[in-house]
Amino acid sequence: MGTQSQVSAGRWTRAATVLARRVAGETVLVPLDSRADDPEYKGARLYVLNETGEFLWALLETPRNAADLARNLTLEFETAEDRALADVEAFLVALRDIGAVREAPEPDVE
Amino acid sequence: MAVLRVGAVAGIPIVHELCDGIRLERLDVVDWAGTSEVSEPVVIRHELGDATTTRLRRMLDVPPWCTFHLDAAGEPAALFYGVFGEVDRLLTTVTPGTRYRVRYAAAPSDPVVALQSELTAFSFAIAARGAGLIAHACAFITATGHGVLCPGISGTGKTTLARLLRDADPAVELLTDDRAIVTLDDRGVRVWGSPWPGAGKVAGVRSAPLTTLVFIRHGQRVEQRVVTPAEAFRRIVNTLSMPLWEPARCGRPLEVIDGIVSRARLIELAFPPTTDAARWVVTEADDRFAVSAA
Repeated sequence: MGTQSQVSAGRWTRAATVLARRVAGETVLVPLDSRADDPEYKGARLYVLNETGEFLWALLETPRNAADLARNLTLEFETAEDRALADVEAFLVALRDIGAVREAPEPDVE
Repeated sequence: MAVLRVGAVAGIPIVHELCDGIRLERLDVVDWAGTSEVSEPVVIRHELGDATTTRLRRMLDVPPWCTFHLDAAGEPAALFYGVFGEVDRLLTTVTPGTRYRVRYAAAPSDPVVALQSELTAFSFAIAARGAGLIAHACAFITATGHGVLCPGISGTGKTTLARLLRDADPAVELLTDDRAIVTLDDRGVRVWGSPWPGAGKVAGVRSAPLTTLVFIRHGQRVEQRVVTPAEAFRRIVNTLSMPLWEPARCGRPLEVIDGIVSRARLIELAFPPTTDAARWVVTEADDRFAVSAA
């Protein structure tokens, strides 16, 4: 598992190695590659996203950086900008550590 | 080699291949005729051999009964300990979904109780097939044809409720007092009985659309509470044979759970051990109140 508490300023997107299902109106994530990373692996873990998490998860279908996610969060939930950014970074750290999001390569600039 | 065929469970026949003079204890402790056979059987081969787990990765201990493991291909295995003087035996996957092998460390002197290896192999197989889940539950069909699932860990009252239902309403068809099978297909979610009963020895072969989910617990009086789908998901997941050893196989079970909690009526019920309370459960599950699964 990762131990860095900060996320980079780059863009983030959903990892291909996570299974997401709607169950009971909620989004459930099951990381698929935790076995490869974790020698203490003892079986799959299920993660249920809260309302804010679902909102961010939907946005992460396309690569976005933390600032962009925070901006959307501010608009949707009327959250203060600094609080929104802190929440987004914490969310990305949590999802990065379970292998549910990954850094997206920067688009080529001609 | 002797062959013992067990009637189909939720449409899946079970075949035991018995090598080396291994005999299975009579499985007809319950009268299990089997459901209609609709798919390929699960074959469990019993033989003498290496029952050590040196090539397996230890995943989960369930003392004193068994430990669960993964083989190099990521397929599940289980080592059952001779708690009651039997020999240790190792269940491994040969072909996911269809063939499993039980190896005995030494020749068993007595007929072998098949329950553990059979139930575990079946749970591995239906997970590999994406066919459904085994629920630790009491289940029954109301007179109007509604399937009711009452999940709960040991001690929550599954066998008690089954016995009370038997007395309370002869029109109720009991499916199981311990292990139900839940499947999802184009017709929706169905609940089935199984040949693996609890102390009440309830083993019904029929199935019905699952329309009501009742979380039971003992209580001084009948108390009912509506449960939200989200709470139902969190509560039922602990009573199901989720293939947590392989995350990639959790998708279909999650769809089955969503099928259950999204379509069935969801209630929590505290009940005292009386036939009146059991009658109340049946009334609540009856079509006059239940949400249709259609």
